[in-house]
Amino acid sequence: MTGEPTIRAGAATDVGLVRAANEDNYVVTSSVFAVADGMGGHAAGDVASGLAVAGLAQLGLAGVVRPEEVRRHIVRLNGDILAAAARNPEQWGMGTTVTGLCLVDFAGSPHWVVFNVGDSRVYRYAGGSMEQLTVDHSEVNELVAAGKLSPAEAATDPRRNVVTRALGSPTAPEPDIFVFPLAEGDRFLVCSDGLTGELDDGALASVLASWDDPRDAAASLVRAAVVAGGRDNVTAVVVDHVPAHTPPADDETAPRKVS
Amino acid sequence: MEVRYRPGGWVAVTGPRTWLLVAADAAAPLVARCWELARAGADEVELVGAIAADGLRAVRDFAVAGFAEGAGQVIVRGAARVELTGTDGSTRVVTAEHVSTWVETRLDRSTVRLVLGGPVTEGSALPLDSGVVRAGGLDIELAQALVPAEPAEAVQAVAAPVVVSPAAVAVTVPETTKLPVDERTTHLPAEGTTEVITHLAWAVAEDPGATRARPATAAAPTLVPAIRCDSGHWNPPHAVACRVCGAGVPPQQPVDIPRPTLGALRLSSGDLVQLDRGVLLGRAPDVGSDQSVRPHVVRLRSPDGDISRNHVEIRLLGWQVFAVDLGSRNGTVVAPPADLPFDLVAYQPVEIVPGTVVSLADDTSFVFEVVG
Repeated sequence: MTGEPTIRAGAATDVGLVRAANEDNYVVTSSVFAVADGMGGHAAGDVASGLAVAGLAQLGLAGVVRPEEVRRHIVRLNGDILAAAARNPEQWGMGTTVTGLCLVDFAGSPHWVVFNVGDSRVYRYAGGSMEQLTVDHSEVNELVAAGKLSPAEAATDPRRNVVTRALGSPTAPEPDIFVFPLAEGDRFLVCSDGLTGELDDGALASVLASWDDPRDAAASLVRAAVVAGGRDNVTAVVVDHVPAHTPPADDETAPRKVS
Repeated sequence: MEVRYRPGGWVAVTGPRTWLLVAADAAAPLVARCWELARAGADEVELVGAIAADGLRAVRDFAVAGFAEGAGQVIVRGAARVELTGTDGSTRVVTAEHVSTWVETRLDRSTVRLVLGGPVTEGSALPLDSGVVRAGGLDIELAQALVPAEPAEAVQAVAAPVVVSPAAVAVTVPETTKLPVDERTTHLPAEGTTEVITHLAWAVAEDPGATRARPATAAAPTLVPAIRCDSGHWNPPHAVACRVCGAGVPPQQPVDIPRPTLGALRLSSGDLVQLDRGVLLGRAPDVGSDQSVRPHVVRLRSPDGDISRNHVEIRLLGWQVFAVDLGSRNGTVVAPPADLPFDLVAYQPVEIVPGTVVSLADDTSFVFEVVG
């Protein structure tokens, strides 16, 4: 690949029809695209998710990012949220999910890092199909993994909102990190569980297929989730890697010269 | 999709999307485990996980195939072999001769027929959609070949094949299977020609596996049995010294935990990639969409083009780490920490230990490190 990749992104959020406050936050910079779904009383959830996205916005400001920095940065954010809660008793116990994509330099070429703590999700939409890139850190997902719950039961289980990893935990959670190279034409969806709780993967895919501009796609997704019930705050960030016009040359593997 | 088996001394387990032929006793726990998974619609990777749950030494010979929505995989170990027939009528045989672990091949829509074979088969092929039988071979028509398939052979009396009764199959096939009941059962041999498995605990219809399906969302974490050192590092159940800090590990009862990060690859560029999952490395790597847990994918710069598109893959199985050359043009060299370097044989996984250096080209290599 030559030159800088062209990335376009759009984001939308809505409080929904049931909740009094929107405790979701998102961030879109030139290299970081993330959603944070906060939890805690007295609007502390909004504080926690706000701290998380503000912290993530710092990534990339000091130059090229490496995957390991993403991991360390997220672990540091856990400490920042704990420290903020310690200064303000009303915010005691606040926490947040944090999930998204970061452009990094890896082995000399641009790669994506998908990161996740909690039950917000990143999907890749490419070639007409949706693929969930993150694994939910939720109690029901772990029960499904252990064979104690079917996926159908998980969708309605009362424990489905219980996350097993979150920022703001006394012991820093280990973020899931997943590295892969950029591919032109890829579209990503980063979203809070308010979106995936209302729309299944097929519905998400059909909305993503209907809108070319990522801002329209994000707005349309959030609107659809609110119409479908809007039982939670809903946030969507859509990220496109826009194809360049020159196809990349990629020849056959050359036989190694033997001296 | 049409599945037939040839009677023989091994055991075949078939489900809606996966087929297994294994040299095992029909009463072996692994057969029961695989049947539970196969009929619930598990994929081939989950089946291999169930086969290897007691360690790879516990089972020598098996072939597993899985195919759904135009993609799949074949995994072969020991004396088992698989013949693949393409849309153009060409055939290819996958064997695992001289391989200590297993050999695998991906499938796409260009494959129309799979024949899983053990050493010996007896008698004619009999239809079987979902069940457990004593078999020496399995024949799976994935799609209509250009040449029409032979008509199904008439059912004959055979020595002592064992087939789950039609009633049991009808009850235990999960509801996720879209086949109507009559289609599921019509291919079973007529009554009287087979011996029904009724004495095995897992053959009863009330089995909860019938209601369990493959998770609809991304794969759930892999669980491994583990014990801890005094500093709290997780280790394999038989560890004597901690893999992270080297301290002695006191004897204790293992518990199942989500697999911890097994270490990291330190690339010659200085970059680090964590082994919380497998890693695919190459010049223009392309991971199939059929893998339940996606590996990290690393694109390596190769100005001279001597690194192949898909060059080498690191795979995790339980606590073990394997390196597999993906048929790269210029090969992969593995240098264990206290041994002579050697070339990987294409597609033959080799276990690597911390300190091993893996080289893809003169200036491109990585080290498997254990990090705390």
